Amino acid sequence: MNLIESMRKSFLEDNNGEMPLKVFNDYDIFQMELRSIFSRNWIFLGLESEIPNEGDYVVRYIGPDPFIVIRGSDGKVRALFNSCRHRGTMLCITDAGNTSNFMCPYHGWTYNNKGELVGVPFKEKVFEKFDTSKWGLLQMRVDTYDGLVFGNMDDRAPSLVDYLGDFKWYLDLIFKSTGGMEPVGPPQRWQAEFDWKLGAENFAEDRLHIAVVHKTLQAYGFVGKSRFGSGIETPDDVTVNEIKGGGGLPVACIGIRRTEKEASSFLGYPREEWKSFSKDRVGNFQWEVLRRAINIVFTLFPNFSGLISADATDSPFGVKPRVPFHTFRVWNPVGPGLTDMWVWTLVPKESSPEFKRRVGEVTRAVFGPAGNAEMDDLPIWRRVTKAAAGVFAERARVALKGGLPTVKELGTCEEWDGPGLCRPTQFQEESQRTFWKRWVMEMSRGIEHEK
Amino acid sequence: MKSEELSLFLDCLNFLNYEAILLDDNKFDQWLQLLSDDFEYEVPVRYSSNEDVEKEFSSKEYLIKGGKDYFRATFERLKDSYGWAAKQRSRTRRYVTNVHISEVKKGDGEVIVNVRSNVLLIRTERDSPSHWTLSAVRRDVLRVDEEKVMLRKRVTLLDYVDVPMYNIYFPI
Repeated sequence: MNLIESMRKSFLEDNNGEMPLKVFNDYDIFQMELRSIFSRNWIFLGLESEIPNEGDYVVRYIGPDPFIVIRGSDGKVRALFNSCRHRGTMLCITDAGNTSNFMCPYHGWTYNNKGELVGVPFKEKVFEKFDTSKWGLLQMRVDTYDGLVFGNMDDRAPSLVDYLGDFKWYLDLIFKSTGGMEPVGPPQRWQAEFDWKLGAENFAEDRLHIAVVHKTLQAYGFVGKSRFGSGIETPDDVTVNEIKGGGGLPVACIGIRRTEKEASSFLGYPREEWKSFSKDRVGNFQWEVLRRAINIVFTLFPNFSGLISADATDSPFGVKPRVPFHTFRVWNPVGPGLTDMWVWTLVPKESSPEFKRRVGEVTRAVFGPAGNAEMDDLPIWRRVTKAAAGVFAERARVALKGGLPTVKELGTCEEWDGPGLCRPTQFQEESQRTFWKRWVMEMSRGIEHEK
Repeated sequence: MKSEELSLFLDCLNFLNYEAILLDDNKFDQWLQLLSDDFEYEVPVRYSSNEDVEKEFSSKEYLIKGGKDYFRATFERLKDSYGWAAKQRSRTRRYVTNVHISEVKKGDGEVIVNVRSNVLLIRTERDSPSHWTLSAVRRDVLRVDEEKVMLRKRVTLLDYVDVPMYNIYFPI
């Protein structure tokens, strides 16, 4: 495919950041992404804390494929393909619940919450020698890390821990040192006509758009000065690119902004909410990063993103406490140029109920379909996707060149004692290029596979 | 219907129609003037479980939850030339029907009325012939006195788990 060849040349050979606009809206690309990326990598499904008890389940999707993510009576989390093995009926039509079994409404085949086929009507009359043990629900591999549940359709793929590789260092900083995170409620869900990669690369992170798209967030007081929305760089802003996962492949980028050296910020948590944070669970440098952090934003390839940012409010004219907003999300592709968003507000498990509620209030005022930041991103991502729909669009190449060696020297961050390629600035586009590099590696693997 | 009841019903109906006109015309500042100072607004996240329909709405997560201050700040921001959500040449049209008064409480010189209505919001944009719709039930609390009607509370229950609209920058 020319488009992939062109991306290979730009991102793996010439390193010029030039890419065909069509990658954002093309039927073949969408189909190939489902096969090459979403069927072979570890995809975020949800949190263990969403299904704490035996029999608890949530229904989640990878592309259009539905899975029942369920904790069985043996305590183990599985992802059962939501389709009866007899005539294929979708078994579960709720979004969440608790059950000991699923009975198909068509011919009554029944499965327990471990996915085993335990009941077939008229068994002796019609299916006497039928081996039900071979016809349990299809399952996808599932594994968890720091309470995050991921699924992988590829039985030959490396383990989740391998896949995450060096990014574990950053996940631990967010999820382990804080004593774990849990959602304030069920995820917000909505659908929009844009390509999933626009969201993923934006969180990967695109610092430059913030000064334009989100200029008003700061100007109208939703976030504090020099925080989210700032077009001014502070000396302790870094972006860590090329964080390596399994096989040495780039798997994530993370942007971290820090306060002045001596201040303690802990992402803007009030002091009484630090109680569950422990330096014993992470290394010294990780703890130092968390201690001074005011803003963390990342994308883990392919479509899991998160953003925590200190000092925000839902009512700039009011007097309610300013807290960080916390938005974690999946960009799930459901069609060419069509994406479903699943957005969780995650808060430290041990923080107080009032603090959790306040973080929820502030987060949804900034992110989500009606959030003051996100409501401005989506029309623009739609406009990219719409421009990419046609035939003339095949000629268009777009330039992701910020901070290329031939364009602007970025320097490296000598003090950084964590994994990845740390840049002493967030004003660059190498982080988005890291996302695209991995994308084209995966998509090329698809072409080789077809050959 | 007794004349007193009819009069109250017409006051409420009139209010809901007028309010829809203001929102359709993007007269958000005028809409703010219809809200009581203790106004509460909620659009809870919907998800289906094995339990009954009433329990489909989360009491913990919302798409929107705020008061008068929240909307005032949002509308101010959207007036800015960088308030992109409101700069897409979107048009909204609200069709308000099935208005029903479910409870009336008489108080000190005012009447508190619980009103249920359906709203169908149709949104079009630029030159596109297609549109988005949002369908919902609204449970409002109106405060009616001799001179005016004020909106004290609105809970908008969307008919979607997966909301089919790319953003929501306006009240529903």
